[in-house]
Amino acid sequence: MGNREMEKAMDAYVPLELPMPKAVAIQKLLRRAARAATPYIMVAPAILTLCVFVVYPILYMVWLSAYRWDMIGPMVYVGFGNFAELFSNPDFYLVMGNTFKFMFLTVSVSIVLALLLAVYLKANTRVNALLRSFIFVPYVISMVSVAFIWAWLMNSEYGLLNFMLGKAGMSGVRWLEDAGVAMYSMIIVAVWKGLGYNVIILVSAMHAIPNQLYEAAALDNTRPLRAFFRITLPMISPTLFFLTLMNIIAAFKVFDQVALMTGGGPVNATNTLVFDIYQFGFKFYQLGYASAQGVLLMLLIAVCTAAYFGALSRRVHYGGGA
Amino acid sequence: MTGIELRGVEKAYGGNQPVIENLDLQIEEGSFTVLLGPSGCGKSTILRMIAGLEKETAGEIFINGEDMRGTSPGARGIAMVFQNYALYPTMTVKENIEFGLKNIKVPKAEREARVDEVVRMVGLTEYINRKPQYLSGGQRQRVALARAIVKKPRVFLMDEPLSNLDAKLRAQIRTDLIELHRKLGATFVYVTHDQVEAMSMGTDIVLLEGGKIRQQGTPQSIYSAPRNLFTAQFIGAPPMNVIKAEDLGPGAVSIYKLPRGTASLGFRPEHTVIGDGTGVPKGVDLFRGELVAREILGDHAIYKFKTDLGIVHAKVMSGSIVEYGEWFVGAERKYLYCFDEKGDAII
Ligand SMILES: Nc1ncnc2c1ncn2[C@@H]1O[C@H](COP(=O)(O)OP(=O)(O)OP(=O)(O)O)[C@@H](O)[C@H]1O
Ligand SMILES: [Mg+2]
Repeated sequence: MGNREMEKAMDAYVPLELPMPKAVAIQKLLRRAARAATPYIMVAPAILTLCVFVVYPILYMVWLSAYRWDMIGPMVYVGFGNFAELFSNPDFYLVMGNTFKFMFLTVSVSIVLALLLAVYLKANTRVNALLRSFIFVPYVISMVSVAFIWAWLMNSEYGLLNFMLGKAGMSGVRWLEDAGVAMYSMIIVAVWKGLGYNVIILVSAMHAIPNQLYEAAALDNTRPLRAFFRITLPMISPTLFFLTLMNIIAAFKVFDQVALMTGGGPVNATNTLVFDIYQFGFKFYQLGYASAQGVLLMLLIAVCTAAYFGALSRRVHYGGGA
Repeated sequence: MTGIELRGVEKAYGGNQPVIENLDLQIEEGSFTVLLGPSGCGKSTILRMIAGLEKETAGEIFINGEDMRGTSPGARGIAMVFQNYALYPTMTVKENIEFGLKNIKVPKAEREARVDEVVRMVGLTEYINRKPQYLSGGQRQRVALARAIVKKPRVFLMDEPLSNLDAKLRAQIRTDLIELHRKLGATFVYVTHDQVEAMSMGTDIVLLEGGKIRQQGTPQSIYSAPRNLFTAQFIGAPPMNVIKAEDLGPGAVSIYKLPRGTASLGFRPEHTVIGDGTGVPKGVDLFRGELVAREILGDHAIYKFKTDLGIVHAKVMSGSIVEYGEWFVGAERKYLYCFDEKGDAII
């Protein structure tokens, strides 16, 4: 408003002083340019940060994946050599298998469990409020503490789990040392840590469903299980869809838990892609090879996300309650 | 006893004061009963208790002679239309309508036939595969109705089903509901705070205030024989004119030969007589009033007069338009209603 009034005043002012028109025109032009530039200037810091910390590293990683480099010596161009090596390495397939197994089981168990718990915890009773905050605690605790606690619980000699199994007359399990068991132990811990978050998100999505729908369903003789599948699930589908995607991406990127609890062992049984990248990059100093793995991880997440969207997004109900 | 009966019903939410206390109510089978009353008087609560969506804290509810205690909403032989429809947003119109039938495993052929019939009845054939969010308010309303009709319930419960619609559509669906009621012969229990809806559709009106029944009866009896001031002033638009007897001057009750104990007088706006002060019509008591507002509504006009005794409305069918200025207003003796101190009608 003020600007426009000022402009008007200036336009009116022009005929009075002869040397002014040009200066006014330039001023006007500058002002218009400044106005047009304002939004770009505003987002510039964010874009710049994104470029420096996201876009540049990605491009650098892609570039690096075409070289052999040990961080000290000269960089040797190998083209797709790193990828060729990757695909011919049997360990790589083991790591990929581990990654998918971890992702699939962690996400599916966590989401299904979270759904079941959310159905029971959504009722606003005092006990439920307490339980909801209890179950959320693991999500807040740092992974370091979680790893320590569970490594202790799962210790095959003096861990609490085996102690209790012993009390119950069962033989102990070598939770983290048995190559056939370790991955499942990791999944248990991952589910335990992430469950609270999923429950809270799903509970709040369920709270957004108008209660009248359930009343209408009651009048329609709807059994609880059917109400869950025909009303609750479709109504929370946007949240569920997004939450599952976030879970999938997070599971693909698991690192700290592996590093802290098993170091990828025993015999690579719990080695996952990101941990493998870390090992090749910063332990074996094969940065090109690690970068090639990184590129692959990126593509993998992109493809999985796209496939996930393609398969499910049509079945998600968007648009408010009517 | 057929129909619906509430005996000594009480309802308190949580640990609060009861909103309904010791309510006895009879709703006749096949009637179009309207629960009418101001906001917060407990209409929805009563309806929801009949539906079984809200549990009464005391008393009994019978539907067709059966005690409904412990009977789930779905097993009460009722269908309900909610104010904001409560359609299942993720289902199409057809799925919404047939959901209840599927739940009780009605065979497919019969189901299809029944759905088809109601869809045609409410005029939704073209929209059968749409989701509610792509329907207008009136169409959603029809889906909600269809969802109720398809169940062939003994009792329809409706909680202000028209309040989200515009005036024209409301008037149209009002007549549709009257037709529907006659056609189905089922019991309708209809909640509204709009006395026009109540008067136009109801065969029986239950006027409520603060969880208590103030009067129950046919629209005519409620209109022409209000048993208390509340009823007199709730029914009719504009409401009944009420004048305090003491404002007529000392000794007014005996001067005007009013029944003993008269504390206030009422007369309907359509019985208001407007005169210019010359030649008082026989049997009419007039007092000075200034015309302050005038609504010309085509076939009739509504005038608002400011008098020393309070606001007086007049509803005049046809005739010439009254000009703004000073007038005399009053009513014939035979149209006067008299109320005592407590607001109860005398005689
Ligand atoms: N779930 C509830 N919890 C506590 N109090 C409630 C609840 N529902 C209704 N009430 C109270 O009960 C009283 C009656 O409510 P009700 O909804 O039956 O009124 P109503 O006549 O339907 O009003 P309206 O015309 O505004 O819909 C109100 O005082 C209201 O505050
Ligand atoms: Mg209500």
